[in-house]
Amino acid sequence: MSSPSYPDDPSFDAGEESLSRRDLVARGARLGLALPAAAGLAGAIGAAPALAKKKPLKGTAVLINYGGWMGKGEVEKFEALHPGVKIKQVPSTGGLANLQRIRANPGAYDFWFADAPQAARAQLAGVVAKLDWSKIPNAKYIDKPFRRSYPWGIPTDIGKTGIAYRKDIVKEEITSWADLWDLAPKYKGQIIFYDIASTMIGSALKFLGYSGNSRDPEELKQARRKLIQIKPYLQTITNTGVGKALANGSAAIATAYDGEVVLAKQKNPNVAWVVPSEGIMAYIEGWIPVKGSDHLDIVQEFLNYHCAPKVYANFVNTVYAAYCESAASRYIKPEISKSSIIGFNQKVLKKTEWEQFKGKATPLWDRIWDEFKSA
Amino acid sequence: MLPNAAWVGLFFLAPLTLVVVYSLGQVDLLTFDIRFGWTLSNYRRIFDSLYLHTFVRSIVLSLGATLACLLVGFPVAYFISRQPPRWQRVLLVFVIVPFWASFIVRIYAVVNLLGNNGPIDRITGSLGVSGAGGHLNFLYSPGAVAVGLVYSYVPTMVLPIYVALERIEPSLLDAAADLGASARRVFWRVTLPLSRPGVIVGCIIVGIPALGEYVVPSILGGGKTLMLGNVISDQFLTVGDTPFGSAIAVTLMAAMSLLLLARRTRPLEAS
Amino acid sequence: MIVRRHLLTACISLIVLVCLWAPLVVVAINSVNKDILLASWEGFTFHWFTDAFHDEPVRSGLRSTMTIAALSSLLSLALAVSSALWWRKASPRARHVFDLFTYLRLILPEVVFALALFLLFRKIDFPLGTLAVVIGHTVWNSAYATLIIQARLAALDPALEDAAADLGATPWRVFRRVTVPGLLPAVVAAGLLAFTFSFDDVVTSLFLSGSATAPLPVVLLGKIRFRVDPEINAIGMMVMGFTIVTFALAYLVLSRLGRRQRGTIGIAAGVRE
Repeated sequence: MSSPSYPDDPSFDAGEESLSRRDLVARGARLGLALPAAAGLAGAIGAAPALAKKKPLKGTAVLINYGGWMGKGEVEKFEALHPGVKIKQVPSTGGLANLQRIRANPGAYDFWFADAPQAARAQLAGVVAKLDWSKIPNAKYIDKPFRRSYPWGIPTDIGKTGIAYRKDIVKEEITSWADLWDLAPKYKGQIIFYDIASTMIGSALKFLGYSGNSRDPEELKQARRKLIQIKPYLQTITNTGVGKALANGSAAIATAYDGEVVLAKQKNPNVAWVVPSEGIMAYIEGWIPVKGSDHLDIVQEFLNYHCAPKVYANFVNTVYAAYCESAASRYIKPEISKSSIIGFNQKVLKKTEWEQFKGKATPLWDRIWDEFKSA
Repeated sequence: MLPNAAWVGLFFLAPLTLVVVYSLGQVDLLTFDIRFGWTLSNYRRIFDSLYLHTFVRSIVLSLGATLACLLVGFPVAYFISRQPPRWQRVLLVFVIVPFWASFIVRIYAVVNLLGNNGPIDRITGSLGVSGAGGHLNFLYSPGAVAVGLVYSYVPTMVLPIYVALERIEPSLLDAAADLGASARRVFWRVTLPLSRPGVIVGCIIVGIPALGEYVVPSILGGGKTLMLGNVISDQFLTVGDTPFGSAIAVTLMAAMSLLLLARRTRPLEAS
Repeated sequence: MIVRRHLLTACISLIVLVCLWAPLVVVAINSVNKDILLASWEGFTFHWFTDAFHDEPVRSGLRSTMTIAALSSLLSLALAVSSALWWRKASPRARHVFDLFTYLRLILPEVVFALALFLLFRKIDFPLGTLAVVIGHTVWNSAYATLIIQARLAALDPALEDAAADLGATPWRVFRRVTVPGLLPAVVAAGLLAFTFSFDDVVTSLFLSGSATAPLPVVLLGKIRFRVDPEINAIGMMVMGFTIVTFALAYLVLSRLGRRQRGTIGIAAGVRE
């Protein structure tokens, strides 16, 4: 069964489509908003003409995903195209918890959202299925470097975590992690750090001149010391509300990922973005399939659909993140596609280190983060 | 009674035993395989100062929150119980209804209220009360966590006290007044003692779960004020060290059981 | 409403109520703010409500949560009332054991208990899902309910029941006409508490819902990854509105039924009304 190549038109109403397909789309759109069970839906559309020649997909694929981390209307349109198929989204409970749920209950999930380190860890745990890439021809639109960095599935977005600060509140110029650490006592109580071990310990390591994925206990000890050193000056350690704090001035300096900074800058142009001179940690995340899933065909079909440039552009426009497909640029809002903050130019790439799986050093990283939070 | 016993046995004791068993094991954090080695190493780790610090903080915050809830909740329960039945229902509804708007959303609203540039900060700022940078900086501190705890647990305190107070016959109070007791005396000598079962229940069902609180300290504490609930849930959800998390939980329960056993004879025997 | 006699407590109550409702005002304002970051007021809009309404996980989450809360409260009340009645006639030793287990259920940190049940269910191959969550909630909800109802039962005068029995009423009649009305405030209070706890519960629901429809708090938590946007506030308002309507209807229905019953309540019952 070969996957259809999705036309670039997201309304999927291109001229070649037959009237019955249009009917289907309209009916599917209406039904997509109602609340029938998958079986009920299949039954209701059962009367409609079957799609073309290939064997129709059927069933419900379960996706563990962060709420809202999906293109607006993306799932509904997909379901309208494939009557009898549903994508059910289940809230993500955090990287490790997701992995544990999947390990405990493999039959219940079909694909899930994970960043590169988690994906590698999952691979080690033996829960990642192998994708049949011939069924996902649209993957060709994903830029090669990102495909290489995310071999387990389809990357959905990337991001880098730099420093953002209010130019009008902070009189000094910040260009490096060293500057941040130096200025911390002066701006005590106005600095926010992310609550992500991988990113923050990694950043501290880069500050010290080491690799942001270091497994060396001695280097890690120094990073821990640096973090605990700055802790008394922090307002909070959180992932939530950083953009807002910067925009309304309740925080003066924060670690922030590029998408969030673009949003904050729109709100308040005084928000400035810094790629620290010592280096910046970046992440890549996406959707990966669960091994043993009964609905791998649906997963592959959906991933293929997702990678079509216009569909992917809709996704990016909804979630406001740096993206992995330059082919989709022309459909992406200019404030994202033309943003110097989100873009990865050569200079930035040289300073970027991608967060990776820490292997056997994982417990050590976790313990350091624990100690930092409890300090 | 039998179905109750079966219920408790199956869905409470069995999992509990499992937790104790896990606490004596060791986990390989990469494969998540657990070796049941009957080791006490997890318990030894608890006495690492890192966690003792959190134990103490949790106990202090929980006690403080319980006391505050009592001071705030008792008058409310009393006021409601002295109303005609129709008004009692109305007031109770007013107390409960906010809690139907989803806890998480409300706590983030509390963050709005308490944060820098929020309404409270602006009011205190204009009154001249502020800290660093001209802001109150109240959010993300133990104080904010305490406020959050009180906010979440007030109805839990009010309801049992109300139930105890409500059954006090007005005629009883009138009789006492007729016998010459002043309003204050009636309160201290009649009302308060009769409300005791309710007060005790209220304190227990506020104080003890507050120790294991997870959501409030993580949102209002800003990742800096960790309580036991955070530590335990971190072990399970973020680190994956189930045995260690279980050990902390078992220790917590043991400590609380001792406390409760100390006042074994009292709580629920009728006056 | 009687205010003057209790001026001090009236004032305190007013302040408390204002404090309880203040965050709701914030939620309401946030839910119609155009600004996705909620950093400042950007103008009025209702599109967050329509977004939330069209969001399937939110709708099914709400349904799931209401079902779980309702089932759990009813089950907990049943367990609590029956245990409380048993407790009255039980021996002191049995009472101590029972009390111990009631308190134990309360002091176990929810996170631990949720995980323990998860592990147990996995071992005995019991399916995760709505039923599992209901069971999980009921274990601690029934402890709360038991405490409240026990306290109330302890205060009820057994003489009333004895009198009714002496007058020839069957145990069932005594229960229905004397005990139940006496217990009613406690049952209502316990039921409300259980429902509210269940409704807002995150941890147990997180662990035990499996791949079934996630209850609403879990859905919300998943949505708050980087920011609390107006849509989340809109969901909070919708949820509250929905619950209020449900309870208002339930109240109307129950009071209509109650009115029919009230005329026949016997003399021996010292019923408060």
